[in-house]
Amino acid sequence: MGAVPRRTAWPAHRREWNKQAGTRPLALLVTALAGLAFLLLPGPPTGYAARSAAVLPPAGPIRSVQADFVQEKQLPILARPLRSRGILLFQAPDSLRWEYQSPVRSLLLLHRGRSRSFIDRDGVLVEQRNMAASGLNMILTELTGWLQGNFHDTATFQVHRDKSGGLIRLVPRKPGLRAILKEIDLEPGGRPGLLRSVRIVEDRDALTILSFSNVRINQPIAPQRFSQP
Amino acid sequence: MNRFVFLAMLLFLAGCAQPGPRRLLPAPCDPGCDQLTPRGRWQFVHRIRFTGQAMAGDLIGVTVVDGDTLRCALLTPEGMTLFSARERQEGLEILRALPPFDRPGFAEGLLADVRTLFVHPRVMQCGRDASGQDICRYRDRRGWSVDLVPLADGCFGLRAWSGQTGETRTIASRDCALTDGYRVARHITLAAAGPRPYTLTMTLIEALPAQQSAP
Repeated sequence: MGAVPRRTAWPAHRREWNKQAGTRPLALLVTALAGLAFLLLPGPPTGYAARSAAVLPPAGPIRSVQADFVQEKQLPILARPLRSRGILLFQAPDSLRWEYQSPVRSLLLLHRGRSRSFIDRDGVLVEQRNMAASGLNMILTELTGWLQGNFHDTATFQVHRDKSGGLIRLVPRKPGLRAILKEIDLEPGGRPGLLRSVRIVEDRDALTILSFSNVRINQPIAPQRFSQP
Repeated sequence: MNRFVFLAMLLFLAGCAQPGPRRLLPAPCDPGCDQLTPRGRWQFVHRIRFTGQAMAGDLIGVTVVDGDTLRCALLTPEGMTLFSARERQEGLEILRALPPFDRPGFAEGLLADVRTLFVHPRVMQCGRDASGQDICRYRDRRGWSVDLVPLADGCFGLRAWSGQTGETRTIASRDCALTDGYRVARHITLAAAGPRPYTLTMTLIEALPAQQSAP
């Protein structure tokens, strides 16, 4: 990675960071589950917010984050991993744009309490009307709470740290959740406020690894980026 | 869409309306039929648009064909694994199945569709239908009658009939290119007719002749 390693925003204060570690991945997981909503499944909500929450800074001194990401999906049947690319935009307190640009373009917008999901159809981003509004709104509500410092509920994940403090592992507490997701590993970046990668372990052989780069903190973002595709 | 594809679509639609396979007039085997099965190990990644009676959605489908062995996975567009399985001579092994992909019969049906798309025997009955179209015919593992139709534009069509349930599968392809002896299609449409009709619209993301073996 050279002199400037891949990194992304991460809570600046370790004390806050410790408290948040258990809740941000919940957003990560829930966001990952968003993909199920398109099938009109009842129950758990969306994945976008979760993934993005894992790289979001606290709403305190950091006002905005922009970053590129690369997502690698590893499955035992794959001769080479599936690679997706996209961008993340966050504006405190509760505006989010999580966008996959390839190989399948899709988008989640969270803005002023409203969540919208889009997917590319023949070059046009089409809103997913069947993304269960209740699920998305629930995630939005939770995410907003986390961004405002409400990190009291860690009932979903158990947090483990390696001795060096270089890795945070989040393990679902409930068996139902563990059937979907075994653990999430967070790798802090080279300095406080940055996160190098997120590693989502579905089961023994299925991994999703998110790496972040080109992170820009507190630079202005046009408001319509959070409300329009 | 070029005129060949249009003609092919008409042909398939006409085929759907028929109760079963057409009578074949004797003819030598079209060598193109042999190019409709990937030989060796291949990995395909497709974007899949699924439309059924009760639901619709977008998925990423991963298929690995290695001779008679199939492995497949369905992912959300964001990359979460919903389903994965492999089918060998010993049988079908489901590695992961989240609802609703865990319902009885889903895995068997999916793998059967994948097999219909990608795996065909080397030896088939060949002939021409009344319109002069070359057809390569075989009976699959389920006992369905399958007609492979190599088209002049390098693409292919397929019709499959179940004699017992009345179900059919109709496959049309377009934007094909011969790669390592296999006609790789950039776009495939599979229409299933029967008690629970559905359509899969598949757009190729990646076709990779792979040398490495997988578990």
